[in-house]
Amino acid sequence: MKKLLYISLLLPIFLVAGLNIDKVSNTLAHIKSVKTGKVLKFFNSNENIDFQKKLKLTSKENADIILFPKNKINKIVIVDSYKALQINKNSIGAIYLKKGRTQIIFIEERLKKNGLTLPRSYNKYLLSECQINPICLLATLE
Amino acid sequence: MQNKLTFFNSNRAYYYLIFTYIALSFLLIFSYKSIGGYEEKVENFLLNRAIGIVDDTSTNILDQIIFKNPNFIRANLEDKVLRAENEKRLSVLSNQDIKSLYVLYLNKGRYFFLFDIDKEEHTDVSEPFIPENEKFFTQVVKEKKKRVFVQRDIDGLSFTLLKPIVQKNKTVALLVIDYSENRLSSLLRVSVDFLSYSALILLFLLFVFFIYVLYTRYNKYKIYRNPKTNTYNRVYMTDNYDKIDFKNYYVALADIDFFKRINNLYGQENGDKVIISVIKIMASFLEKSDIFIQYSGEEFLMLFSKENRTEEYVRELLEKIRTAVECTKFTIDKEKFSLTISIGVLFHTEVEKSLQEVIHKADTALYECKHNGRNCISFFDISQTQRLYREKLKEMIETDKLVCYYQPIRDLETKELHHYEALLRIEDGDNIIFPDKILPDLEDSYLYTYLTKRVIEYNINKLREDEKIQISVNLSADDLINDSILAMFAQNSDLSDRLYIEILENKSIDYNKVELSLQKLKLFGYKICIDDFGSGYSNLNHLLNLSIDYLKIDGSIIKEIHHDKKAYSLVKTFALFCQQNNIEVIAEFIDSQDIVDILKSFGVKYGQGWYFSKAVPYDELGKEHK
Repeated sequence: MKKLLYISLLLPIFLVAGLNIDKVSNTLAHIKSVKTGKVLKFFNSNENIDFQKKLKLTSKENADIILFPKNKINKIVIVDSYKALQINKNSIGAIYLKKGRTQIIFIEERLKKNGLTLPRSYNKYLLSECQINPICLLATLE
Repeated sequence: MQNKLTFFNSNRAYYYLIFTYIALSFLLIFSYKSIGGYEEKVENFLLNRAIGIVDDTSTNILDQIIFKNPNFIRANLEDKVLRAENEKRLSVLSNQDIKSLYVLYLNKGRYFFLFDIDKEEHTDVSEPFIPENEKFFTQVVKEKKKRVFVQRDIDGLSFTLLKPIVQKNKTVALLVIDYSENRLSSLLRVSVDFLSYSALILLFLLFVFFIYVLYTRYNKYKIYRNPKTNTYNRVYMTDNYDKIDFKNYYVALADIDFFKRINNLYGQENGDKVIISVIKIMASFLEKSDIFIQYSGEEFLMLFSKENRTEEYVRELLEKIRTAVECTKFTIDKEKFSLTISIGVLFHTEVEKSLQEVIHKADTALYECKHNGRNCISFFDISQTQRLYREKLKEMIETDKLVCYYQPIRDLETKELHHYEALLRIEDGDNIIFPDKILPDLEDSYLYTYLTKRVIEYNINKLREDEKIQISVNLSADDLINDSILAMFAQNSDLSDRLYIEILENKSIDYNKVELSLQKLKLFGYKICIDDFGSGYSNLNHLLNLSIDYLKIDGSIIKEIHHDKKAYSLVKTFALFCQQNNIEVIAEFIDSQDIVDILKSFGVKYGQGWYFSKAVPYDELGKEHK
């Protein structure tokens, strides 16, 4: 029981420890609204990550995008695991560590649906809905 | 043009140094880059050694997994059991140095997980993977060759092996093995760091050494040169006496004629400007292989390389130099004037033993040039005895053959000794050389001042040895305005009550300058006497301005006093003038009691001459003064 408690407490730290904050912040800062072209406001639910200097942060109510939500929320979110990205259709992307590398993934269709866009230079972070669906991916295998 | 020539003449070594610096810089940059290449080679060598066993084994395992199946990716994606089986196969490769081992397959330029042997942090199949060092991944995919690279940005990883899985000549998947930090990687970093730091330290030491060399050279450059003309000075010659191969040069010593007049008329600052102009004119005729040295204030030494030059050529060149100076109009304070130079030349330097001898002989030729009316060129000819005499004279002065003889100056009434006049002699064995054979030969030469200093020094020593003796020494007007001579008197002012200074009045004197020097000497307590009064440029008005203590009437007048009315009345007038102005009179060349009587009748107080005593060496002086 104790182990589970420790794991649940430390999990958020493990998940983000080693994240390349500069890279993440830089990418998030470039997400723009297609309509207004304005820079978006974020709410960060993970206190272990300090975006203070790089991102325009605000309260949960005023935020355009919620980062790493702990509960289900009716807003655009960016989650902290690939699994959550697959499950949560409100999420436009995921930021997490894999094999020591910072993974930044955005779903093209979900960005579009929410009227959001990223500059072309960030195309390497864009995946299609199909590419996160194993069955669909198998069908498109070259 | 003249500057350029002198600069080339004196700065070749400096240019070489700058060239060396540039070459060295390139060499160091090249070396540093090579170290970078070497670092990479060492890195690759060590990495390949590290992955050696895993690399070979993984090839076999991958062969088993593919098993000649062109659709092995699809097969593994569809068959969970097969995938688990293959992951088990791959796990054989795992060891304590490997942190992660996984296979990524490629689909539309993206990487997706196929196998991951990590049980604790296992990744599901088809999960996308965005590599950190994408360029290495792309390179391996394109080149279809394995690659190992150091992980510098990911914590806990040392290096990564990327191995392509190729089917139908196309990379379809990649085996990725991440190695954790271990001894090897630490060693690798240390060795690479060691090489880098060693290179940096070496670069720094080389730089310091170079700066030191440059600094030393620059200091020498400054010490050896006149900053305004960039020509060598005497310090350069003194330091390089043995290095100058004088036998390969024709040597000329040039001197600006009557230069002291320029200094007297326009001041030393303007005099220096004139010297600079003359140097520029002269140096412009020299070539790179020649040497130009400012030997003393207005004396210049020119060494003309003998290479490809005949004596005749140098004769013509020197004549051009002389004419160029003569034809130049110098301007000071809008006043234009001309100057001339005299040049003494020695061609046959190859038979001489030292540079000093060479300069002596060029100077001898220069001396003859001056006696022939100046503004000319004289060539040293060994057969001329006069030149040899001058050379010998110089040698004798420099080798302690100089002495002073002493003639008493007495009270004409009481016959009591007042003081001795020190008279210069040179003892050459039994032969004694008198001042009239010495001084004209040294006039306008640096040796004249040197000689004066030796005489002063000689008599100061005598005054220190013999506390009763009182001595007068002779100085020329030029000596009086020489700072180093004045400094000697200042340093020995404790002897001022026993040391009298006689100023020769046979030459033109710049009274303004002399007056200042005399005031200083009087402040030190010295008594001043004008010597040879009536022989040359005597001026009664100046006598009053100079506040002198004694006046010595020239011997040529005194010896005629008893049979020449003019001489008689002249001495009488001088004596009366001096009495009225509190100046004591000394008469010289007294050779009879008749003259003594006449002088006494005029009120002349003191006298000297053969009637009393000849000048004798110090050792032969009676004990009278003691």
